[in-house]
Amino acid sequence: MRFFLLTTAIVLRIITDLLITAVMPETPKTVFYLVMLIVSAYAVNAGLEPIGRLSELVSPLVVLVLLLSLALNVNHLKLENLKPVFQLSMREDLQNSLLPGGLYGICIIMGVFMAYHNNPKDTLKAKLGGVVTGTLLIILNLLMVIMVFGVNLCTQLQFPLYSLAQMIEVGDFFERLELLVMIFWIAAGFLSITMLYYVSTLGFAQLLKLPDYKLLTPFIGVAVFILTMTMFRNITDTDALFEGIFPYLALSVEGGLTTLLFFVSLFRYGKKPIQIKKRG
Amino acid sequence: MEFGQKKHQPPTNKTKILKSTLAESVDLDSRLEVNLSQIKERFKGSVDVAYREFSLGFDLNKKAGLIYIDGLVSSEITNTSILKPLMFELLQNEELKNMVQGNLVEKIKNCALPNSSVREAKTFQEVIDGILFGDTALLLDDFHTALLIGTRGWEARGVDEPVTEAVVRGPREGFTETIGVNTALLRRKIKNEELRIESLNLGRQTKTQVYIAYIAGIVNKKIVTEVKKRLQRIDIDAILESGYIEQLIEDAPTSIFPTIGNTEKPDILAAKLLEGRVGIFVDGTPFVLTVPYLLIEGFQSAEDYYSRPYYSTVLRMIRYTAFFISVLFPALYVALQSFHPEMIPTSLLISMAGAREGVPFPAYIEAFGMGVAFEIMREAGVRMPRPIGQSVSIVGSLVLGQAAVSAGIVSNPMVIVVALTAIAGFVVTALTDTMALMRLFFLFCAASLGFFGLLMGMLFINIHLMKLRSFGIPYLYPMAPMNFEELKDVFIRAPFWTRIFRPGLLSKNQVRGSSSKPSPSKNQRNEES
Repeated sequence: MRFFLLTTAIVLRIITDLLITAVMPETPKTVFYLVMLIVSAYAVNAGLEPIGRLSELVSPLVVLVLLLSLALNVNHLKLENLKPVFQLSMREDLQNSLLPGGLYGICIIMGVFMAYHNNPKDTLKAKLGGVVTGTLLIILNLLMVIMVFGVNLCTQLQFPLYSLAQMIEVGDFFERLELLVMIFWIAAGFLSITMLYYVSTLGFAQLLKLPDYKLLTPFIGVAVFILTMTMFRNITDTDALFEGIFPYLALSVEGGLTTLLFFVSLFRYGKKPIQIKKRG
Repeated sequence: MEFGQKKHQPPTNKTKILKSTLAESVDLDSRLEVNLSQIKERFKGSVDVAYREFSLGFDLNKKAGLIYIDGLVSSEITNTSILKPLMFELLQNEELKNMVQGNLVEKIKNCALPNSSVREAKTFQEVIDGILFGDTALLLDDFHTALLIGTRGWEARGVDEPVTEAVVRGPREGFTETIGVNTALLRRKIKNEELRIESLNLGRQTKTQVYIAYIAGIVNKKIVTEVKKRLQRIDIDAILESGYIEQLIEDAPTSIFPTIGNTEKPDILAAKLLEGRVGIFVDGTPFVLTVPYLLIEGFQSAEDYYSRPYYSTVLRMIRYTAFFISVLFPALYVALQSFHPEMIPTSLLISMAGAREGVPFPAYIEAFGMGVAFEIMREAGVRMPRPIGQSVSIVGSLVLGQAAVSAGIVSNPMVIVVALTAIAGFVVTALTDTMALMRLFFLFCAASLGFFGLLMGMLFINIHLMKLRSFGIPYLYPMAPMNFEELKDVFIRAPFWTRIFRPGLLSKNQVRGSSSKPSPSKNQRNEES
């Protein structure tokens, strides 16, 4: 669960960095952290259903806006930017895919929600659907970004997708829509923060055998706040974390630990309980 | 006496008070004088309580007394259905003279009183309650039983067109202040014995009649029992309007969103009952409460269903648009103006900046000030007598608005924003108050953190709405627990022949009807061709 706490802080940090760098450079970071955390604490205390309903509302909008921002950039596409392909060896490819893998591995929190499903057997379907959609979107994004900016520029841009949104121009009137894209992006980020926050709170509450996790919310909030404030000195630190330790840490927790838990529970309870709580 | 006591001794313990009320229900005495003086003692000092002592027709020694409240009873009914038969028509009845004493009350009740409602009462409390509700009490010498005769007939406002819910097409009758008239209006709409109307009295002092109305075959039983439970929990001295009950039984007293609806029109109430809702009539007010209340009900209007679906659908869309304009427009303007001017197209930005030139205040203070000014004007316009109200709005809009702009205190775009917001705020009438509060909230969000603040505010409101429930039904149903069948009546107004089922969560998911798509019948087609 501490991993989730960490991830909450990291995601909060990324989102806020994005916000500050791109939109509001003068406002202190603390304000954003606090506001985000307060609203998300409210969501956490509201319970799982409101969070789920909120994502039901927000995610289609996010996907729509994302697709729209991609579609409106069709005129900037240059197919030759994609070349060269398969330049690297298989090993290097795998190594480079560790980071997205680690980030996508966060989807194991679905395992936590599984216990609250009406019909847990459908979880696999839902989860696969979510992961596949997400992966497809990311691939589409990457393709678009590379096709528009080219590989060299891409690696240097801090938030390529944001730059992509900046290029949108419709009929000489609607320009600078990046803020709108941004807003939905933050909404999506907020959702993931809330979910991670919820899961870490729930996890700690289960660990401490508390009857009601809601008591714990403020404390976890403070912990996330402090972590976020102190973890990185600046945005370069974040990048260093992502290129260095995070993929290994994440994958070991997501892949290794959950599998281990699965085998432990298999060993302890046998095969009977099909709805094992923590399964990756 | 009983009332006086309560007033001077504030209740310290609920059960104690209840017990003392029960203890006062003393049985009637057999002597008429004792009974009369007891009741006179209870009503001491009230001039509107009338006492009439007379002799029964067949025996001059047989005394009787009538007690009623002047103005609550119709003297015509009292004269023709009580006094006349007892004084004159009993003269011819020789039988009664020889009757055994105990049966006399029964006999009078059954044979001598041509009135549709006659009840027996054994205790003083029952008699006094009956009198207070507008019945006439008949006390007979030598008997422990009094008769309460239904003579209610006070002056009341007639059935009238309601002011709050005006329609172009549709029935124009509205509820009145008399609960009996209101239930009759409802019965006229739904001629089904399954329409149940249950009664209870609330309010220690006012003893207000409250009726719960629902259709037994349609309603979700859980909602009815929940409503009853919550009503029975009420302990208050007075219920003067249905708003008292609304605030005492609502789900989320701390929320700015209403979780209980109200209507003044029988056709709307009937439609809601037919969807499985429960209505709560309160005596003395034309506003009938309906539960559960969902957010979308604010956007639905009775006329949507009375006119053809196409324009109704457009109107629905317009209502949602107006809602968002009214709630978000000032906030958006402030966010754009003070935080993200780069998002405004250049030419517009230049003209806006030109209009704002010389305005001393930041945009949010301007917006806030104008908003407050508008609320002041609205409040003044509502409370004033109508002729003055009009001049207030002229002074407010023309003089103040125009002068403020030309004096350079407020910018022109801001006046446009506030005016549009204000007008849009009246489109969704059921949520006008909520919208005003939300507008302030979003203005604050936008003024402090721009778009980010606005987004956080929206997420916050959203989570809040998702959390809300009205009598067990999620507030955003059928949008948030998505129900496609029901979505036909949210953003669009689908034709009746596509809407086969009632709302699933509210009622047992029954078939409303099975009209198929209308088309000319086959024979007719043949004739034409």
